[in-house]
Amino acid sequence: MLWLKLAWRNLWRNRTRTLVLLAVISGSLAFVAWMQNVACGSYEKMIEDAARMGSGHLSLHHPNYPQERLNELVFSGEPAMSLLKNREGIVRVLPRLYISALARSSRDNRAVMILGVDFERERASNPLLQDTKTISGQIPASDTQNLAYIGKRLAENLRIDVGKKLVVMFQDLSGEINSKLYRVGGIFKSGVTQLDSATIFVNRHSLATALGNSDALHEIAILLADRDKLPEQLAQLAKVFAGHKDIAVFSWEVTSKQIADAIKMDSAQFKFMIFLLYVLVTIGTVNLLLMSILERTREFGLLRAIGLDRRRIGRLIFFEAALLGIIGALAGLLFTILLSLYSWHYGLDFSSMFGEAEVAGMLVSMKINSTWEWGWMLGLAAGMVVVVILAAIYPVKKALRAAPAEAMRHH
Amino acid sequence: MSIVSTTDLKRVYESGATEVKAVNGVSLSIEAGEFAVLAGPSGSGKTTLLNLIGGLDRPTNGSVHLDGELLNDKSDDELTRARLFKIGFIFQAYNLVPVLSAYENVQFILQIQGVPDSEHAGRIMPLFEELGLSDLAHRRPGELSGGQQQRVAVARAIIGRPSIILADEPTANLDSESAVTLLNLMHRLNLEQKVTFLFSSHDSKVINIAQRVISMRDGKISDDVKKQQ
Repeated sequence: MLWLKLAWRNLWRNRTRTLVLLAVISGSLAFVAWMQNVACGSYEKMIEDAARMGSGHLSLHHPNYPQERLNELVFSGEPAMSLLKNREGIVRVLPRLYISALARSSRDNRAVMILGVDFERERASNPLLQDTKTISGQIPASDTQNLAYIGKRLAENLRIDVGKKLVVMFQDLSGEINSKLYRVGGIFKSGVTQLDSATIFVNRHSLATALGNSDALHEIAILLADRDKLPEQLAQLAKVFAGHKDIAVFSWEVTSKQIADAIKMDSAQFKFMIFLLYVLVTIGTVNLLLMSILERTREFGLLRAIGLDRRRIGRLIFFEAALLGIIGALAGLLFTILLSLYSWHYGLDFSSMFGEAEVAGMLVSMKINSTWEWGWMLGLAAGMVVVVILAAIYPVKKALRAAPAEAMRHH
Repeated sequence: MSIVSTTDLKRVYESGATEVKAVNGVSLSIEAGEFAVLAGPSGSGKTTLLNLIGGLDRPTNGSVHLDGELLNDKSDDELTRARLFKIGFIFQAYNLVPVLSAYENVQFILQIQGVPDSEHAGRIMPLFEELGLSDLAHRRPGELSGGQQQRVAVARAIIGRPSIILADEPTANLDSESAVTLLNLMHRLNLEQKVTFLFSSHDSKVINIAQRVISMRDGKISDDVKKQQ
C-alpha cells in the first residue's frame, strides 16, 4: 500500500507536468479513438449507401455478370423473386436491368447506361431516386412504361427537357440492334458526374421486353436487416440457389469492389496514422518522464543508500508510469465516449462544406454518424498504457546508472 | 567486537590528468557501542571514508569489513542489502522522501526489510515518543523544521536495528540549539541502547561529545584519540 501511495504522490509532485502528460496521453487517445469511430461510421455509411444505390448487401447475378457486364448475361427474374419472398432477415429486394446503350435526341446522342428498375421499390431505399434529387418533372410511377428519369447533364448534352422524346439503341438478347422510344418524365441531379451525365432510369419490364425477354434481370440487389448476418445469409442463399445454374450469390465486397478497396486503403492509412501517433506520444512521454526522473536522481541515490535496490526503484518508477498510463487512458476513453456520443447521436454534417461525395461512382452522404468500435477503443487504450510504461525504460536506466554516492551528489 | 574495519583503504578520483587521493591508506576499526567522529577540515576525506564504509562507493584499493564480512567483493544488490539491514544513514541534508510523512519515511525501511505491517506501529511509535516526534508523525518533511527533519532521519536510521549508524555532518544544517538537542538524543541512544555511531564532522559540538575522535588530513588518519569515560 505504501508503494502505491508513494507512486501516486510522486506522480503529483509536479502537478503541471503530470497534467501536461495526461493531456497528451488522453488527448491523443481520444483523438485517434474518436476518429476511428467516425471513420468506421463513414465506412458504414459508404457501405450502406453503396448497397442501396448499387448491388445491395448481397446480390443475385448470372455467375459471369460481375466480371463481364455483358447485356446477354441475364437470368429469369420471377423464380428468383419468389424464392426470396418473405425470407427472414431480408428487408428489400431490388430487381434491375443494366443496359449499355446509345441515347439519341433530335439534337444529339450520348453513350449511356439504362437502368431498368421498379420505381416504387427503389424510391423506398435508393438515395438517388428521391424527390430531393429531382430538379424537373418527377420520378415516374411504377406502372408507367415509357417514361425515363435522366441525369441533368445528360439532358443538357442531349438538349432535351421533361416531356421530350428520347430514343435508346442497344443490342438485344438475340444480338440484334434494337431501339425504344421514351419520353423524359423527370430530371435528377446527384452531383456525381458519371450518374448525371450517363444514367437513365426506366421501367424494367418495358426495357426487358425490348431486350427480348420480359422476365430478364441482370441483378437482384438484396438489403439485409443486419449486415453482421451477411456471411450466414450468403451461405443460406447460396444453398437456395444451388440448383440454378444461371444464378449466383455475391456479397457487396465483390460487386462493389472499389468501395471495399477504398475502405481497406483508408483503414490501412488510419493504422499508419495510429502508429505515428504512438511514436509521437512515446517521444513526448520519454521526454517528460526523463525530465521528471532525472531531477530525482539524488533521491534515487538516497533510496539506494537506505537499502532499496535498483530493481525495486525501477519497479516504483514503472508503477508511476503505469498509473500515469492508466489515468491517461481512462481519461482518453472518457473523452472518446463524450465525443463519440455527440457524433453518434447528432452526426457530423459535412454536406454544407462538401455536398455529397462520389466514391467509386457511388453517391455517399457527408452526414456521418460515428459508430462504437469498443474493441478498437479498448485496444488503443491498452496500447497507450503499454507505450507509457515502455517509455519509462530509458529514463529508468539512465537514472539508476550512477552509484549511490555519485547520485547523491547530483543537484 | 569490531563492527567495521578497514585496511589500507584508498579511494582515488581521476580528474583529467590529475589524481585526487581522497582516502589514502586508511586502516581503522570501529568497535560495537562506540560513539566516534571522523574530524577534519573540508576535503580531508571524511565523507569519502564514510561512503566507503557504508558501501555507497567502492575503494580503489584496500578492504572494508562490516560485521566480519568483506564488502569489496559484494555485488551492487548485496551491498544494498547490507546497507538495508546493517547500516543506518543520517545525511547533512536530511534526505527524507518529500512525499511521505515522517511516519511513512520511517515505515518505509520496515516495509523494504519485510517486517510485517502489524509490527510497524509498535516499533515506530515508541521511537517517535523517545525522539519527541509523536505529534509530528503525519507531517511531511516540508512541514518540519531542520531539527525535526533530522530527528526523523535518526528514527529512520535506527528503526531497522542496524549494526552501525553513519552520520555525515548531521548538524551542519542545524542551528546551535537544534544541533545540541540532536547530539544529546543520539548520545542517549548510544548509552541506553548501545547503538554504534560513526560521525563525520568538523563541528566542535560533535567533537566534544564524541568518545573517540579520529582526525583526518589529506585522506589519512592524522590522530586517533579515545577519551576517558
